[in-house]
Amino acid sequence: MKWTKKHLLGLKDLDRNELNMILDTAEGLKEVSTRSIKKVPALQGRTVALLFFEPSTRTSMSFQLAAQRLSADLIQFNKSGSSLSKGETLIDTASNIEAMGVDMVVVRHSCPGVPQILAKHLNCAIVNAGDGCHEHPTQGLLDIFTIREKLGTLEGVKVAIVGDIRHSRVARSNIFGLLKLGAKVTVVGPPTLIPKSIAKMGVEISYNLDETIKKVDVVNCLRIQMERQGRSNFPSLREYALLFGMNRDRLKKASKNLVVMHPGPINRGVEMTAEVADSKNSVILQQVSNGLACRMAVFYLLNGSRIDV
Amino acid sequence: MRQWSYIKIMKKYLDSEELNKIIKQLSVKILQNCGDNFCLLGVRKGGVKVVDALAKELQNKTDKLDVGYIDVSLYRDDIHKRLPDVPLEGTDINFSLENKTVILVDEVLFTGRTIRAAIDQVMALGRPRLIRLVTLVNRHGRELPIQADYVGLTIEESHTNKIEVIYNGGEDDGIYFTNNSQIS
Repeated sequence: MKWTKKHLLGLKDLDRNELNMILDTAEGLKEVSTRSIKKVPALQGRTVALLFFEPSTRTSMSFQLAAQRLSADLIQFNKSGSSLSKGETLIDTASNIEAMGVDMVVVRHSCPGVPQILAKHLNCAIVNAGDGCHEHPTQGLLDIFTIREKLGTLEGVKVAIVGDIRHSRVARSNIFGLLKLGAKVTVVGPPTLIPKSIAKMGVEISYNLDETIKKVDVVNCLRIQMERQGRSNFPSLREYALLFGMNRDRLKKASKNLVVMHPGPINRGVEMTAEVADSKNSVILQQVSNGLACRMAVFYLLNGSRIDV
Repeated sequence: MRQWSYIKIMKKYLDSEELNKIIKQLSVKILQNCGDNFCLLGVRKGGVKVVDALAKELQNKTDKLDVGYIDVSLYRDDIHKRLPDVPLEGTDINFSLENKTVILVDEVLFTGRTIRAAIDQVMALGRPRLIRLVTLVNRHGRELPIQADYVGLTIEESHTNKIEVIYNGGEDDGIYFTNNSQIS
């Protein structure tokens, strides 16, 4: 099989073989980060631009490091102090950056669809690093990679995604990817944070974490995104934590090998207690390490896709 | 529009008995010339079966045998010119290369470009004392000044034909010339 996709805009666009190809490539690349000299020349002479219009720590750093480990040159765009504040449009800004000879653009934006618009207007490869409530494909990939690494397979694995499903691009990318690879997904949270239409994606809906936790192999607790909520969708954080937070009692009810995940940043005491976050069931730091390998895999594959076939 | 199909034509050049004999001869050469501080690195993908066969021959004849595998995809000079066609299999070396005699093992030495990439990768992983190259088949067509130190057999064959080594421990084991012929 040959990789032919020019962009990574979302996991919805990828088929099962393409998803597996990224995961397998990431597995091969993970070893690079364990070497004493953590650098390979795969992207030598290529330039990657990071366009982050929203704040980011781990995703931005992970993309930076992934590009650097593959020897790409890197330029970064900061929204504050840029020409956007002087009235330049997004496409003009991106086109100007591309005119400097950029080969790949990694973009994060609060508006869904921005990566798709850039893909239409620019010639370089576009990687979606999160667009509004739409998709966050590399987070989806690293979550799926971590589950596969931990459990050896995705076929038939039962995954609960807990929390703010309505505003979560991480949930959507996870759902697209997990279902294509044979996992079963249940979304859990307060009714105000779970749109009914989500069932059309092929997931089950639950409003009761205590019941769901007994039946699943993996629980992925999403961050409560205060910045995307126009109004309060639950009475208090305390009540949310009481009903949907992972704590010691819920961990006891679950399978002893339950895999506990969180895309970060964690609100300790809200989505999960510190005890759960630091427990042996937690793979949160593995997720971060795997994120680097998955993003290297995406760069490596998209670099190849710039060739005319 | 006419759809073309391809049929793979395989011609056996060497059978399994002769292949095993060559592996044995190569293992003797390694033992005679490489001292006791050496390791074997199979170059993925073709070199894997050869290095495994050599390791099997050598395992009872040395005190300790380190065997690893390297995937040179990230070091290839045509990385920007061809689509990635298989996932990376990764480099798997769980021992130090410092001051060792590193013996690179490949199936077919042709242009020399894969071995150039392999040497670059080995140097990035450590500082071996020596690097030696073992190839099962040495075929003409070098594009770089790279030669093997230990050669199983040399074949002069047209550039259009591929040389394929099957080495699975079965009846079909051998060295084959393969050619994709177009049929309508």
